[in-house]
Amino acid sequence: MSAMFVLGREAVASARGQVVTSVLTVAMVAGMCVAVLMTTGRTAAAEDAALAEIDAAGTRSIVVRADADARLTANVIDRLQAVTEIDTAIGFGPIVDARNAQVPDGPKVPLRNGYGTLDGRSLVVPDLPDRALASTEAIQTLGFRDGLGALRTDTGHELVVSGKLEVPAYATFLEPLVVIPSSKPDAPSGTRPTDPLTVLIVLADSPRHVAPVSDTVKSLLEAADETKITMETSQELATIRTAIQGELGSYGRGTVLVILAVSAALVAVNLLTLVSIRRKDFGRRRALGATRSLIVALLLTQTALLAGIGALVGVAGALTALSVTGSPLPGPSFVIAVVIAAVLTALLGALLPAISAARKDPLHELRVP
Amino acid sequence: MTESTAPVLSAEDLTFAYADGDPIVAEWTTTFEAGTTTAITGPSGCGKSTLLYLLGLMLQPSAGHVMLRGTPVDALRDAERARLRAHTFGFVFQDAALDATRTVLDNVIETALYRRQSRHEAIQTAYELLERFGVEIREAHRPGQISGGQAQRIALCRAMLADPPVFLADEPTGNLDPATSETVIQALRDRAADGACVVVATHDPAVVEACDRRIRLGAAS
Repeated sequence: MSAMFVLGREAVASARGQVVTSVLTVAMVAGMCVAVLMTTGRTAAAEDAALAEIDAAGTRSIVVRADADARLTANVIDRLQAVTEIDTAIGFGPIVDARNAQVPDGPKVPLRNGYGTLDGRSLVVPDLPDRALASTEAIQTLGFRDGLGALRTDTGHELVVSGKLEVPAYATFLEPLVVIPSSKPDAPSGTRPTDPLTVLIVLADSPRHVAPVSDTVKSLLEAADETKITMETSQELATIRTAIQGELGSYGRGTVLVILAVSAALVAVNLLTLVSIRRKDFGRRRALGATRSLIVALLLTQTALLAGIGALVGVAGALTALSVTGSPLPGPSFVIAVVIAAVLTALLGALLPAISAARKDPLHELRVP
Repeated sequence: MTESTAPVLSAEDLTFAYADGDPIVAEWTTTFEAGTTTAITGPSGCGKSTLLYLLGLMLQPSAGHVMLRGTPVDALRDAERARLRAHTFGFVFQDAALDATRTVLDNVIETALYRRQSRHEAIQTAYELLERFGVEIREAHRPGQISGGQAQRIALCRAMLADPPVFLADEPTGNLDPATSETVIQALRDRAADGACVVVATHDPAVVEACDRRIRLGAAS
């Protein structure tokens, strides 16, 4: 039987024999978890929700709009994709109106050439000419059943819509979106590197890289006609995002540290009281052959088990309270971190009492006057 | 003296003083053989219990040595001395010193944890000992639910669990009636008959009378 199992069983038996101390330890750790989750946890959840909304608005995106004759061409996509701070770059050519080929007087949708990767989907369909990809909104506008159908442009050209596109939040301004993909896998600009672009979307890999990526994009647009180009960045949103994250983060850290410090102190006082009341027991254990390290291990194991129970009780209570009050719930990683921090804090608080218990002098504790 | 012929337990110029005090045990030398019972007597405060705790490695001497089979053991590391206490010594304290929060059975098998002995094996031995001392029906009780005599017999069971070669008892009959005292005395004699070295600090004339050897300590030994 493993030493850990034997130690755990003895720790459980000791905890059951010290009901008041055990209940107090569980209550203290549960209270610690409730306090952290109801304050910082709720703040973190609100922060996550706020950041998600800001991100949905496109905190990392840079949008360049150009006239068809502005000399902004598809090969810029190939060059942008080589920049490490750029997550993705997508380009769209000038609009050609198109309709459902079966409904000549039906509603129009804008049809564009597309280059690059849109929300993880490569806008490259090799060796399939006259194919197009359409968003859900475009498919509904065109009235295609099962998402498939034929398009006819105002210039009389026919294409087949053969796939669906998911349009991310930063590109919804292009809706309804129908794209003629490029045809060469090794270069997004494919066989048409000199084709004009009217919309270029560049996504930085993080909000703090929006400014340098903007500068990079500007430098790559030098060949284009500046008077026919506009550039929108999400720098302001990125700044707001960083400010929110920094402010709430520092508030949360401070609160958590105070709660953990108070909890560690309470656990320490609780266990010091236990060690004081039961000093004769620890003296007896030492006299009968328990090593100091065993006494320390026993008290720490006992505390870890009780703290684990307290953390689970506290997390369950706090999440229930947050749900009932309709507050945002912190994510699983935050909750797991709170449980781990609670157990470690309790162990930290138990360390001094455990060492004190291990140093009890058998003679002093066991002698009868 | 070789290890095989050395006495199981001995003290050589053993001296001990509490902080800022005169030595309560001074240059004390003796040997304890296997299979014998020794009574240590003397007035209160003469150092009987202190001597027992020194011999049992719970205290470290100010000078001199405690030896097990001729090997000095008093200066070993704390963990080593604890290991010897768990494996080599059986202790009976004056007030039984049971854990009030645990059952009688748990108390008897307590030292199995310190020796890393199998719990199952320890429980088997504990039942035999409890039956031998007539307290088997109390195995599920807690110390607060039993008499002083029963508590002392349970403490004897705990001390005998590992069948230790050295058995130290501090006033084991101090709070017992004559009949229960006789049970305890007989148990100590049986331990010696089984080959153990038994050392008892006592005021009880019945215990002194039953022992093979008597050592009387003075006001300062």
